Amino acid sequence: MGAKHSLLLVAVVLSVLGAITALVRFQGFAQERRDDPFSRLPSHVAHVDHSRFFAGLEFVDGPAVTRACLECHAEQGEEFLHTAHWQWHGTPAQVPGHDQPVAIGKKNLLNNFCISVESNWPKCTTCHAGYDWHDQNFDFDDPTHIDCLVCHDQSGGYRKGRAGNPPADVDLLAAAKSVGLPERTNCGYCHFNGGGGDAVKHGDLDQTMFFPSEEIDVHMGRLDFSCVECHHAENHKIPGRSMSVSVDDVAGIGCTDCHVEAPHENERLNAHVAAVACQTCHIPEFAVREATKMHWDWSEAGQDLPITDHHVYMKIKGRFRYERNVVPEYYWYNGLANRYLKGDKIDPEGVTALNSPRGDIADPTAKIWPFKVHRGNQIYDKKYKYFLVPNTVGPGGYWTEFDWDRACRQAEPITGLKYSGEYGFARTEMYWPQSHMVATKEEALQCADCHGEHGRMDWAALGYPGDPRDRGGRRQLDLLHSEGGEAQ
Amino acid sequence: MKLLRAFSGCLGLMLLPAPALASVSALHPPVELIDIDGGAALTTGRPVSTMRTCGACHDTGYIAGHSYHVWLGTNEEKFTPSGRGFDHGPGLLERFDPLTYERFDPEQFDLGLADWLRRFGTHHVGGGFAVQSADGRSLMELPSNASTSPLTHVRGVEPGTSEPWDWQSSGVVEMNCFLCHLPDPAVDERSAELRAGRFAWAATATLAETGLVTREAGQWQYAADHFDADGKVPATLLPLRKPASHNCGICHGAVQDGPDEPFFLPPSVDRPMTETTGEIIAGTRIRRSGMNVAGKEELSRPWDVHAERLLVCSDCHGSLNNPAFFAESRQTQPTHLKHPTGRLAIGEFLKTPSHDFGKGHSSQATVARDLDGSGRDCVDCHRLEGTHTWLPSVERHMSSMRCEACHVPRLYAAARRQTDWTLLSPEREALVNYRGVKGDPHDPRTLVAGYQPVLLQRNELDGSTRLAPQNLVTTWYWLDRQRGRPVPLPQLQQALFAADGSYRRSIVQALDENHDGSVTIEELRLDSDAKVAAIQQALQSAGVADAEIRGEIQPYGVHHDVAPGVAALRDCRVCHGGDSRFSRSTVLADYVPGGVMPVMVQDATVRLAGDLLLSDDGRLLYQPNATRAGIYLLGYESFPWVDVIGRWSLILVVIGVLIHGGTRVFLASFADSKKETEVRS
Repeated sequence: MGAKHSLLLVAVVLSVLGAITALVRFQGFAQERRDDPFSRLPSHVAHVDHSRFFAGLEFVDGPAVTRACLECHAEQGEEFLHTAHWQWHGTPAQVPGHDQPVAIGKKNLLNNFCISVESNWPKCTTCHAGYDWHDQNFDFDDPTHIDCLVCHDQSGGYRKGRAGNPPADVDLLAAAKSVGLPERTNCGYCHFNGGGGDAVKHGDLDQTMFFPSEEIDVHMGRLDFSCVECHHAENHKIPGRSMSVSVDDVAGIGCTDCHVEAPHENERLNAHVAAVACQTCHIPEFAVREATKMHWDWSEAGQDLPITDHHVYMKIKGRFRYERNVVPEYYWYNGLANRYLKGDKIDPEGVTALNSPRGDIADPTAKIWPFKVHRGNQIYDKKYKYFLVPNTVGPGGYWTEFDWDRACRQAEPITGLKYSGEYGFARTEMYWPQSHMVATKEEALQCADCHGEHGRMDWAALGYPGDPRDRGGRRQLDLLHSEGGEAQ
Repeated sequence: MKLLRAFSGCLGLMLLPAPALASVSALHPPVELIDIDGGAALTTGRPVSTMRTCGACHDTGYIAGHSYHVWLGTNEEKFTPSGRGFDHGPGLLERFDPLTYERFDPEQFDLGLADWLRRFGTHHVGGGFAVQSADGRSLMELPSNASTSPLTHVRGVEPGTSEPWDWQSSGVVEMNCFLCHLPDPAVDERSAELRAGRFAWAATATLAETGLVTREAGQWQYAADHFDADGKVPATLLPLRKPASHNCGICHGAVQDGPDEPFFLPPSVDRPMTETTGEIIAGTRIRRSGMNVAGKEELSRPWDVHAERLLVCSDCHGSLNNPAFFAESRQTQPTHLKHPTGRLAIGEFLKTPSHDFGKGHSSQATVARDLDGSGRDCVDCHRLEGTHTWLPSVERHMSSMRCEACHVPRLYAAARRQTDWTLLSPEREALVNYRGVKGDPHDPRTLVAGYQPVLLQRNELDGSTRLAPQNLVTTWYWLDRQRGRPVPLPQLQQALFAADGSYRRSIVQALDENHDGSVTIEELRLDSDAKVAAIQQALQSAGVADAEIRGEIQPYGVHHDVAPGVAALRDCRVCHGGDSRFSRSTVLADYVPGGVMPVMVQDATVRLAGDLLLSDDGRLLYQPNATRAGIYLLGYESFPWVDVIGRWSLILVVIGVLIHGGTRVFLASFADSKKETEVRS
């Protein structure tokens, strides 16, 4: 082969290499821009079929099942003892207005639904991932009281009763043999019934989510996702934060775990993501099929009213208002929250936010989020000016005696909250950021839903001088603070 | 200066887009409602005069003088003739309209001006000819005892008779500022006053929704408690502002600029744009509307992308001297300038805002042709650069088609197809049928399939032609040859109907094909010489000695209901494939009354380039012909011999390359072996 041929060959090779390089670079560029959420979904290991295990065993109660589980899964048992699902509180976090970090959670917080777990354990702990939590003496170090089945049962027959124990008629052996990766039925057993019933608490979680159509939730309806596609656990620590029981955003999950930051083809829409959470447009309404509780007035409880609709009134709980297809309220939210803690002083004439989103228009990390705001009217101590935790469950509790005074006195030694003997009712709010019931893009909000004369946004309340469509966004208006806190 | 400062403040509001205005409209100064003689209406109890009330700050004379909505072409000395001969102007008042049939003829009495205002005044903003005669005299000064005149008389009870109209008593219809500048004008109340001939009260009635006036015992009363101590009305009660789209929709077409609520907006002569094209101005997604559109679940596009993006009509059709929007007409703007150099100061504009609005160049927009092209066109806002990158021969496409050709691929509503005034329905209305729907389009249950508009060559203002989507509406009517005008409606009704309201016996005999003694809707068509003769005979009995059927085609340009890019036409085969839309005929009419082939109106901006054909079942079809339109459609129009040459050229080139390359390889290897032999030896 002559020098001429060699040169030709080199030129051809270089050309081919150049073409391949260009192609690869172009593809890389294209992939970088493309929203390919499926590539980011977790892959689940195949679960071992447990139906051939437990031969000859007979489970007399839940802990018996757990002991059998721990024979092979002792490490997992140990892991679970350190999770929020077991502890019902998180790691200590700095709560605004308090000097020291506090470990908060369902275990020690108040809400404006059933108010508090303390003194009411047997009923509330129905949804604890454990067994036998009757009182303050529950042993959180005992792995045999972990309820593995509530998350892993696939028999469909498993249920929980008072203190988290399964009723006697539950076939525990069948449940044990059926275990597998958690499905919607497992998570939904508790989370779809938060607040004591279907659709009560969250607004974006209810029993329609067991088998939703895409009109209810595009991920679970159209794409058949289970909860763990997004809430993918490691070491039994399930990511995801509920603003009702946490104030930080540690271990939170978000849309951008799978989707790119600016996935729209439309530049204008992509420009919105700096100030608007995905959920704001993609969850135009919550409580899509089932009405959710929006208001709870405890002060009317205890009356014998001729109302049989338990969505309107219950003697043990008071008066409610449920709503369906609710347009959310919108607030700035940077992932952090304020929290009312037991014993915090209140202004009984005003409205106390038990939790509220942090962030404002000047906060570059804050975005406009959709919220369900549950408003209530609940018992407080007139003298000490803090909210009381009444004992509602069990003998002498309010649900039995309809006596607020007795309910508060009975709870006093348990909660440690002094009760003066004078009580009243004060208004409260709880904020529930909405992240489920994601609509299809065809049903997402359009421009006019927020902007213009008929828009749903209260721009003034959000801190804008007017509709940002006309006035410009917070960056153009110099409303953002720099990282140092100085206005730009 | 005070006035100017007040104007400046207010102008700031007017320059803002409507949504922002809504929240600040309370800044409009309090308004004193003044009657026509300059007295406080609250005190005198007389009708509000908008010319006086608004004229306290704004130059209402200038505004009325610069508004083709006010004059409807009656002040145009030169206009493109429609070819009808009996049209006396280019606008709604004096030009034949297939939707309304009757028009005002200043030269021979048919319909009095007051008749017209009572019947059609709802769609006129007032002012102009509704206030003064062509010679500038107030209508109220016209002598009422003069001989029969269209200006001073109205139709009598008996067909062909007239009676004087008392303008002093009725008052005139002043330009109604409230109609367009109030967010919630009381349209129905205003219409009721117009229909009743209480013209002076029309503007006052428009205030009914504000609570400033109430009707008690048939009389309008002012709510004194709504006025302040100075007798003025605060802007919170009279929130005057820039018109929203629904204000324009009062007269023009179906507009839904409210929140995303289901709506049903069928065609209606009260919504002429929707009636004639099917255009519905709404930002709502089609799938979420209440319209029963076929396949709507898949239609996640909005009815109109611009409405979805919160544009309002005035964003494209704004005041021509608004300094914020000012753009010179393409007809007069020098080609070397992109932006005009002169514009009004803010205060001047507020004092004298032109109410000549930017307009397009549609066939049906026959008024103020000198302003054609003054509105915002697509390219005034949209860039071509960086878009349409997928489209081959972008420049070629853009120079031969208007944007709407692809971006209004389909109308998802019924639109009028045929109007037959040669016979009347039992309700004494024209016989009408629609395209885009099978069944009654006014029934919410009727499935709306929608229609693809026909593409016709439009004569652009720069002298070029481009394909633009149109709806072609055919109309037939009787022409009174002796008087050179359509047979007046009362005479036509007299010819067809007996005193009891039923069809005359002679009419039934002529039309009743199944001999059941009545005339069904299906039988109401003149499809034989005998039927035509029978109607001519009936018309003769009604005093029309020589009547003949005329047919015409009125094109209606489609420029709204623009789809977002993703829903625009992207399938090349729709035009370029073997089944191109240019190969498909369009039905223009279900039947041809009297066999009279319609002709295109002459003042259209588009031209037919194809054939009118009669199908075997008697329908009238328009068969487009791309070649006659002067366009060559790659793919659709193929010449077999060109394809043969192309194929053989390709084959021969490949063969040639193979022979050439093969020979070189063979000879090279032969030469190498020869060299090797030589080296060895």
